[in-house]
Amino acid sequence: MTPVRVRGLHGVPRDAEAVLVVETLAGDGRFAFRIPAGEAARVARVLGMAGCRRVPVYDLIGALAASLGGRVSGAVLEMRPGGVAGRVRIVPPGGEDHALEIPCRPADAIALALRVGAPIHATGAALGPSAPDSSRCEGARVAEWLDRVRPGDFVTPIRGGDSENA
Amino acid sequence: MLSPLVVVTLAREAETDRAGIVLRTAEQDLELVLMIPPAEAARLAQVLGLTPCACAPLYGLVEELLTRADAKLEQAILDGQPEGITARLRLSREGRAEELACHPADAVALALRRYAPLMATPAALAHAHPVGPVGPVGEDEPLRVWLSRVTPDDFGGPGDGLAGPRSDQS
Repeated sequence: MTPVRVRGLHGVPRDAEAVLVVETLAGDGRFAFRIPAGEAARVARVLGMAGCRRVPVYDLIGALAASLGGRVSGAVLEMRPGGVAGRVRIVPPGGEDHALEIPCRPADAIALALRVGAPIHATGAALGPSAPDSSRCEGARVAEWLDRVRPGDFVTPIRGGDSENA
Repeated sequence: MLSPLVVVTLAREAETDRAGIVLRTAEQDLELVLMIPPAEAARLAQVLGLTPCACAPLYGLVEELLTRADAKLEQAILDGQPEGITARLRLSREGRAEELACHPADAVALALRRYAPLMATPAALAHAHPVGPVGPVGEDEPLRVWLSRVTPDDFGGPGDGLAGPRSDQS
C-alpha cells in the first residue's frame, strides 16, 4: 500500500462539485476525483478551509468507534479499473490484527483519517501524474486544468460494500 | 418523561439556503421547529426522499458501525438547552445502554432510517409552540412565518413522490 496525502481540494462551481487531489508522500504519483458538494464541504471543514473544523457527523462516527473500544486508525483508497473505493480503518481493542475496514465514500474515508491525524493509503493500480501540483504551480494553472478536464479524466468514486454507499 | 415526535416537513429557502424541519408531538398538539445547516438538511432530505437520490452514504457508514458493534439504536432524543436543541442517540449493546451526542438533524435522520422512536424531553418541548394556523408577520413566531412560505420542493424534487406540502395542509 502506498501512503498518500491530500494535495488539494478545488471547487468546480459550474456543477456544484469539487475535485479532491491526492498524491503520494513522495510526490511522484497523483490522482483526482470529483466529489459532491456535501462531501466537499465536510472535507473542506476538516482541512480548515471553511472556518470551523468540526463536522458533527464525523464526531458521531468517532464516538461510535470509541464506544466499540476502538479508534479510527486510517483510510484506504483502493484504485480499481472502474474508479476508486474508500474504506475507513478502525482498530478495536484487540489491536491491528483485528482491524475493521468499513466501506464508505473515499472523501469521507480521507476526512475521517485527517480528522485524527491518521494515515491514508492507496492500493491497487499505480498512481499517475494526472493532476497539476497545486502547491508548487500557480493557482491559474490549476484553474486552467480544472477548466480543461472532462469527467472521464477523473477517477470515479465507487460504491462501497453497502448498497447505500452510493 | 419523553414524548414521541413525528416529522411533519423539511423545507428549504433556495435563495438563502436556510432550512428548517418541523416536528410534532404524537398528539399533534405541539410543534417544534429546528433550523438546520445546509449540509445536515441535505442529508435529511435524502432520507426523507425529497431529493432525486435517496442514498445517504454517511448514514450507511454509521449503520455499519452499529452493526459491527452489535448495537441497536433504541431512541433518538432531542433535548433542550436555553440556547436551543441538542440531541443524543440512545444505544443498547450487550445488555448495556449508552448515549452518544449528535446533531439534531442526524438524530432525526437516523431515527427515520432505523425505525427508532424519535423522542423529546420536556426541556426540548419548552421550545415548542401549540399547533395552529400561522399568524401574521410580526405577531407570530418568525420561524413559523418563514416556514409557512418555503417548500420541500427546493431540495431538488423527490425520487418517489414523497415531497409535497406539509401534511397538515394536504
